Amino acid sequence: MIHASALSKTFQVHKKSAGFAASFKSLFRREWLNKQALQNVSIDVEPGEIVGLVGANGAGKTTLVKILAGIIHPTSGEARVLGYKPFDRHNDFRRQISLIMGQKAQLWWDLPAEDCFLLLREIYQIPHPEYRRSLDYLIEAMGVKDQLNIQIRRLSLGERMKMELIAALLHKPRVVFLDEPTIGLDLSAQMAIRKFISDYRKENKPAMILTSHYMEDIEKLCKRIAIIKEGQIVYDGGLSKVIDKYATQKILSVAIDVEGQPMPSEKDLKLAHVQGVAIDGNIVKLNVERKNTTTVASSILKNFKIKDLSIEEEEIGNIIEALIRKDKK
Amino acid sequence: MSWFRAIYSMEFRRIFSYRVDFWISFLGSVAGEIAVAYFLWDAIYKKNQATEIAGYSFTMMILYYVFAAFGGRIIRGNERMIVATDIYDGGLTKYLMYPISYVLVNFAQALAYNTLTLVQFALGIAAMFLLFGKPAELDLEVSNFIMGISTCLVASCFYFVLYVTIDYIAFWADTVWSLSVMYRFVAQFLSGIYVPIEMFPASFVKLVYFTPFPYIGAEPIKMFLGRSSWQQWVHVNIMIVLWIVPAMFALHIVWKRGLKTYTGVGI
Repeated sequence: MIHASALSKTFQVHKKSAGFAASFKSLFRREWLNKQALQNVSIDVEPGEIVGLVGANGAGKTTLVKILAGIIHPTSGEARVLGYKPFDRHNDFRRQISLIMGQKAQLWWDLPAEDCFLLLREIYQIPHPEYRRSLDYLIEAMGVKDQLNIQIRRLSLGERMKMELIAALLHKPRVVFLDEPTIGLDLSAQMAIRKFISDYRKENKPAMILTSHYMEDIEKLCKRIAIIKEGQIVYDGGLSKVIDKYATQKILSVAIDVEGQPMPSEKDLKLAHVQGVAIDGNIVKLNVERKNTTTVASSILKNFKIKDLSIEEEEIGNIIEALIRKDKK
Repeated sequence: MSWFRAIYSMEFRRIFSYRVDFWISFLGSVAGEIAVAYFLWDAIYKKNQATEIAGYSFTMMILYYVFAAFGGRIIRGNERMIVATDIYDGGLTKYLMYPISYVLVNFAQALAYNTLTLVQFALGIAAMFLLFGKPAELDLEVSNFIMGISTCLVASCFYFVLYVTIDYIAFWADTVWSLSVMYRFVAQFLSGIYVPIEMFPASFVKLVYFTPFPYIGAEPIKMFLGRSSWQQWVHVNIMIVLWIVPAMFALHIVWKRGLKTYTGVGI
């Protein structure tokens, strides 16, 4: 449904040093930099699948989404969405896709949401009964019935984002691009939007690409992720498989039995092969190299009186974050 | 094209949302232009003790500016640089996602504005004649108004195409405010909105008629003043349409090329 092969995009950016002299000089002569936003990116997304695009700021996530949505032209490579070349922006293509941008309002700022939805009904030529059914379902799911007649610019960020989602899904798109849909929202709004996206996906089975800086969005919604670093996809696969591939540590969680004996100090717990120690009451968490987990667990059992011991995997979010921050290769 | 009607109607709702701005622009702007012209030409006629300048009596000169102010607003429509702003701040992105033509969206918005200026024109002229009476020198023929208004509407299409083409330069230059102001000044000057074209040297007037501008200013004003025939009306409208064709071609080329440089900033 979404197919991209060897996509590259280079932007030309005006380089401008700080200060008055540099500004004045730029009136006559400018230096331009070629910024490679994407390099040889290939990705495929099937119907009903939701892929999380993860990467640091400027890694190329949004550029990839913009190319696949037909907003910008790739420098090289090929993209096909629903069998169309996105940049041709064929009307049949545009009737079947949607882009939700957390950082950019798409609804008409000066109008109430209901007027915006009516306009979208005309734009997408949605038959009236179908429009009413879709709208009622989406309003109910998002809980925004009371805000429909308020100007968009007067809504809170969370309310506006909910309206944006409704507007983007009214025409039941077969491909949905979600670019940071929960950015800046409070926890309850984030949860509501995640639940809504999840329910919508189950019911309508669109192909979805989600970019987000919130790991919770990715963990809750995506079984598959693509990690972009400096314009290249460095990992594309199952979310759970990230651990097998990139986790270098395991976490030993130990409940120390402190009855009749003092709690061991951090120094006591820093056994061989232990890379980090965190103590919270009588619970100790030890970061241990994966290959030495058994050895360290045996040492713990031998040296301390314990109530419980468990071996946990590293948090996926931490692994991905480390990958993005270039801590790991 | 029901979406076209929806955008057209939405633009009214948007304009009516801001009532202070609406009433100031509806009542104030034209009155200001006419007042400036009145005091300026009053001083010129008195200083020269003239009864006629370039074929215009003082009354006809003021009427020229009345029709230039109202007609000019119909022709210029909405000059809010919406297109350039959309390109500059990435607002264009949403329209690229919708299965509609962006230029037609803008045209629908401009048409809504034109409709309001038409209402303003009708009410303004009626109010003036009620307040000051009908000038004896003016033939109040319905045909003059039909010719004038229809030509203003055709001219507004040409003005729109050229204005949007200039806005598209924002694909490369980011901001085109100065270019837009320059276009407005040159277009109004050459079309006789500031000063009747008859006042320029004959050779210059001849040259100006090789451009589209007299057809989108001086000529429709002459129609309102009863100085044109139906034959001239046909000629003027054909000339405007002939200018619209290459202008639309230029618009299409600039749009196609510009879009390839669009980066969708702000997302």
